[in-house]
Amino acid sequence: MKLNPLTKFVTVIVYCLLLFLFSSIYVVAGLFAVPFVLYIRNFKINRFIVVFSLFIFGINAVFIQGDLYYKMEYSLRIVLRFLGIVFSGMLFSREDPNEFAHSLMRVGLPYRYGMTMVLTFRLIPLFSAESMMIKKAQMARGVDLEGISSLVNVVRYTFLPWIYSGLERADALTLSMEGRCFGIYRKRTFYKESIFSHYDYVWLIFLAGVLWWSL
Amino acid sequence: MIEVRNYSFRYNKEWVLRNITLAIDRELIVITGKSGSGKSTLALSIAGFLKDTGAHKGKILVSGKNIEDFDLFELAQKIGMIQQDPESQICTMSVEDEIAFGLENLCHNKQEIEKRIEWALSIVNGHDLRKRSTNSLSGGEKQKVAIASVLVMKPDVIIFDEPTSNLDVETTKEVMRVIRKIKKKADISAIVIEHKWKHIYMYADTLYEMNSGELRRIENPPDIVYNGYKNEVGQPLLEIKGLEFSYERKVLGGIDLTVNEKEIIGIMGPNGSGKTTLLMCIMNFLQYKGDVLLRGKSIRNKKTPDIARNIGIVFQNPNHQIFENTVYKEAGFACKNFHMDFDVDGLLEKSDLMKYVNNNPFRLSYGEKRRLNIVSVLSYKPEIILLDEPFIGQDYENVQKIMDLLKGTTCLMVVHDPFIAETFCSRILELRGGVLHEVKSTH
Repeated sequence: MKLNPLTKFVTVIVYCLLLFLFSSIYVVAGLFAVPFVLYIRNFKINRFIVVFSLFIFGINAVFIQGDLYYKMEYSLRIVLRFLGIVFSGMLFSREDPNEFAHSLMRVGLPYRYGMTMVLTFRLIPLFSAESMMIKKAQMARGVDLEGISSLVNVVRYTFLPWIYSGLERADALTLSMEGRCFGIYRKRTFYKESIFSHYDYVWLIFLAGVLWWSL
Repeated sequence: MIEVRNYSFRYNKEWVLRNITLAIDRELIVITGKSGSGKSTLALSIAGFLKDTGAHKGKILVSGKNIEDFDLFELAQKIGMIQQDPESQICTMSVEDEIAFGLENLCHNKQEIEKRIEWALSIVNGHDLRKRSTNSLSGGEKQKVAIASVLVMKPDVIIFDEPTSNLDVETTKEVMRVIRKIKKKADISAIVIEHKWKHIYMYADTLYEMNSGELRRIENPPDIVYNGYKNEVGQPLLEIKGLEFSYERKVLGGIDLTVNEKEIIGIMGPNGSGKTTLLMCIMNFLQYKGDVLLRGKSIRNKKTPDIARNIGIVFQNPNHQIFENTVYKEAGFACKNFHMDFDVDGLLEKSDLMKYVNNNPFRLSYGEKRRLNIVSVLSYKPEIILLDEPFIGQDYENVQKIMDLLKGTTCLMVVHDPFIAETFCSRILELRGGVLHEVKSTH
């Protein structure tokens, strides 16, 4: 059973709502456990998240008024909600962005915006490779990338090559896309099969039910 | 059928195309000529991308109709265009999406698209690419996908604007065979514009040469004669000992190489064989096993900027290594960073860039940018210069100019063109399977 990325996106949104709709610490902990378990089964936890959670916990525990039990419960709830959002978001970020963009277009997002999304995802690795390359070229020409003056240097000497190669890329892309009739009609067809299955509909109805019940 | 009748074009004052007459009907023509001779302008004119810029005389007819009377999309269905850099013309994330892109825009249905994708892939010999993601393709594969994505729209003619200048010799031949097959199997005319015609002209039905905006038909390809030289070789300068590098798989498996003073060494090998990686290791951009010695001293643990003082490097894309806003400042950029006095007048004169000293370097032509890159490295007199495919997109004249600039300098260069390698390199090595092999002859 594989759910559509859009269904998963809706799930994440509903999940985050639920985290805030319930205030019982047990329910929040239970909700938190779902993405957490899914996450640690497959991926490693970043140390920054742990440190940051402890930080949030500490800040809340210090500044909230009340007895010790209330302080602890309140801070823990905040941290669990925070982590719930983080882990569910991180799980979602593993989805194929291409499929996500296509699903959005399928449910009515105008294709110009949808294809812009696809293009952005396509270009991100190129831009990051380009930035790495520019940085290497800077080092090879003796640009000082250490110390206080480095930040100024990085900004100053990265901007120009970035802009110019970006402009050239934009030219080539325009030629390539217009040359293949992008934007000729208001609608366009899609070659890929509709990617919504029965499971998606069943799951979405279930989510709607849960949300309705908890409201 | 395309007819160009007494066509002239200018962007501003000077005519870039002069009185061009050309008729193409189901043939494969190759147009050669120096950079800046107007080849690309002709391609863009025929494809209708210059309709709203500049001024023109004469006309271009497509199936008997003036291109002025077509709208952009109508013309796009008749004339397809493939550009030089395959990377920058791919706009989706999977090969299937990319090939379907044009047909989806034209609102074809699924069955039709399916049929045509199959057909296009069979012509470019690319069935194995179908399920791949576009980011995972090699340069040659990307170009095949780009070709299939235009071919699938069944235009009357496809214009290839320097389709092979980023590719090695083997891949160039393969792409040319694909273009030949398109003409034969799909009955689509092809206009191939390329200054690197040496591995290309034999595929053409008709050959043309462009010279300062004038087009003429030629029977035989023009001769290339390089004014070659060989530097006098001195003491060992750079020694690479058992250099190994792995990235997911083993890329370099024990490289041993000694570069002597004033020697020019050419490294060849197929795309993706690790040539660039080797240069990156020497500069310490990548962590490697083994050792690299400069004049007998290990530079393995030195920082890149310190290594760069003695070892200059020129990267592939000229745009990524221009940082200043005038040509003069750019030429002295590295000197300034290394706190040296600089005198670049001589180098700028020699590289024919003196007339641009106060211009913005990004506005130079591709060939001029490349020369500027080399000047800005030569200016601080490193002991050895590493060059990563410096001749990509360069015409014969510019190759000669670049090599003249490098005369007397120790060079380790990655090069695709065996002819250049044989003319200028004292030694040619081939990187294959992660190891260097001496090449006696490239034939």
